[in-house]
Amino acid sequence: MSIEIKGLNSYYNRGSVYQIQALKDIDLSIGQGEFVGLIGHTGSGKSTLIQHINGLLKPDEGTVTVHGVTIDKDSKNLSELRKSVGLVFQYPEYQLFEETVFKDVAFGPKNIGVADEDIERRVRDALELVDLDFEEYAERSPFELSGGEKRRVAIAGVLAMEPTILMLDEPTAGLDPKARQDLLEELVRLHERRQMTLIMISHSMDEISKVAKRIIAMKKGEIVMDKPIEEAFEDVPFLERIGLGIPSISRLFYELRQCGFDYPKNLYSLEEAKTELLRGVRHDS
Amino acid sequence: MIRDITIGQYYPADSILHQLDPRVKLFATLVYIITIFVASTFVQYALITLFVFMLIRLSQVPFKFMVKGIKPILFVIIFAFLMNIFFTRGTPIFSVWRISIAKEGIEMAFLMAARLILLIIGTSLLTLTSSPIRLTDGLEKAFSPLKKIGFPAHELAMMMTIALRFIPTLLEETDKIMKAQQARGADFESGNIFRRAKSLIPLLVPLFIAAFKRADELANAMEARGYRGGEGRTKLNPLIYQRRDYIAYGLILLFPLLIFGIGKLL
Repeated sequence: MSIEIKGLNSYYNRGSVYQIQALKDIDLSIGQGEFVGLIGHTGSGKSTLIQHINGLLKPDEGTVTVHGVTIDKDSKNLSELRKSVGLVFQYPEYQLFEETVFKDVAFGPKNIGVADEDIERRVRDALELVDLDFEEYAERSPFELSGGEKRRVAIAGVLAMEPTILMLDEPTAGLDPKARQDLLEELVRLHERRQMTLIMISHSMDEISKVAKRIIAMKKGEIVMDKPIEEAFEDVPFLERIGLGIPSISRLFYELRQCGFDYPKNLYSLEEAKTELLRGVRHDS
Repeated sequence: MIRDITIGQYYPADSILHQLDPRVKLFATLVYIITIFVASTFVQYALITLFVFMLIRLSQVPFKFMVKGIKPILFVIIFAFLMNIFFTRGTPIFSVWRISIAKEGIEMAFLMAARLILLIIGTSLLTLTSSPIRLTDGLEKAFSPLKKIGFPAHELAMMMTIALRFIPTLLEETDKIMKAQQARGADFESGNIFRRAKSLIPLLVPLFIAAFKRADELANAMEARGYRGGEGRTKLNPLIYQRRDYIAYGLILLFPLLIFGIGKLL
C-alpha cells in the first residue's frame, strides 16, 4: 500500500469556541497506481484529507503512512515525503511567481536538490506532459499566458518534482470545455504511462466517471462511500441523499429503469451507453 | 500561527458593551488612553485595572482573548521593563560591578509594563466588542463635521472598511500560497535572515499579484453598482444615540475624575 491512513482525526481551531472537526475517524488505504476520484460537498473535508497525505497538515489523532513514512502529530522534516507526493491546489496558477516559465517549473526540483543538468530534462518532460512546447514557452513570462496555459504550467511545476503520487484539487475548475478535456486526457496519460497514483477532487461527476477507477465520497469529514467506479453510481437515491449528483449517463439509465426498461445498474461511460442503447433498439426492431 | 493574529478580531456576543454606539466606545478609548498616560501612582493603576476587569466581565468576552493580544508585543513589554530597571538613576538598592539598580527604576519598570498591558487590553476591548463595520461607521460619523474643511471622512472610512474586510481574505490567501509552495519543496523556516527573506519571494509575488487583481475587480464591482463616494449615500443601519449612550458618555467623563480623585485621597 502506498498510502495508509489509520484513525485520522483532524480539527480546525482546536480548543477554541470555533473548533470544527474537519476529519472524523478516517481509515483508508490506497495502492500504488490507483486512480481515485474524491467527491463530496464543499466543506466535506476533501481538501483537508489530501493535505494530510503530503504532510502539510499533521493529524491531531491517528497516523498517515505514505511509502513507509509515517506522519503523526509530532512529525518534523517532511521534505523527503513531499518529493514523492505532488499536490496541485485549487487554482494553482496563483502560485506562479518567476520571470520565466522555465524558472517557475524548475522551482520545485531545485528546492529538493536536483542537479542542474537534470533540471532541464525534468522541465522539458514536465512541460511535454502538460502539452506545452518547451521551445515556445520556456522563456516566456508565466503572467502573459492564458488561464488554461497558466494552469498547465503550474501543474508542470508539480510534475517536474517527479512524484509517484499526484493529488489534484479540482484541477479543471474555471477552465473552458476544451482545456478541461485536454487536462483530463493528460491525467489519464500520466496515470497509464508512469503508473502514478492519482487522487483527484472534482465536483463534476461526468468528469470523474471518465477518469477515475475508484470513487470515495465524503460527507462532514467522514468517508461515506468507497467503491470501484463500476459500482459507485448504482445507488442513486443514496448519492442524492448525501447531496451528490451522478454522471448524466447514469442519470439517463436510472430514469429509464424507473420507466420500466431493463438496463444494467452500473452504466456510466459513453461507450457502454451507446452499446446498450443500440442493443435495445436492435432488439425492438 | 498565521491565523492567530487578532487585529480587529470581533467576538460576537450580546453584552451592553456590544450594544453601545461605536462613537461612545471610541471616545471612551480616547479618555482611557489619556488616563493611563497621566496616571502615575500604583493606586491609580490598581483602580484602572479593577475597572478594566469589570468591563471585561461586562463584555462577556472570555479573558483569554485579551491575553492573546498581549502575546505579540510581549517582547516590547519585557524590553521596556528591563530598560527601565537598568537605566533609571536614583537611590541604588542593589549594585554589582558597574550595574546598579535603583528603587525608582523598579517602580518605573512596573508602571511601564502595567501601562502597556492595560493599553493593549483596553484597546482590544474596543475591537473585540465592536464589529469592524460598526467601528468604521463610528469613525466616519465622528469625523464627518470635518468634511466642511475638506477632510475625506467617508473615503477614509471606506478605505478602512475595505482594508479590514480583506485581512482575513489575504491571510487565507497567504496560507494557501504558502502551502502550495511548500508542496513544491519551498522552505520558509530555516536558514539565516537573508535566506529567509529571499525565500519569501515565492510567497510575496503571487500575493501581491492577487491583491492587485482583487483591488481592480473590487473597484469595478463598486463602480458597476453605482458607487461614487459618500455624497447623498444612505445607510442600512444608521447610527443613532440611545439613552444608554448618553449615560455611557457621562460615566466616561466621570472615570478620570474618579481615578485621580480617589488616587489623591489615598
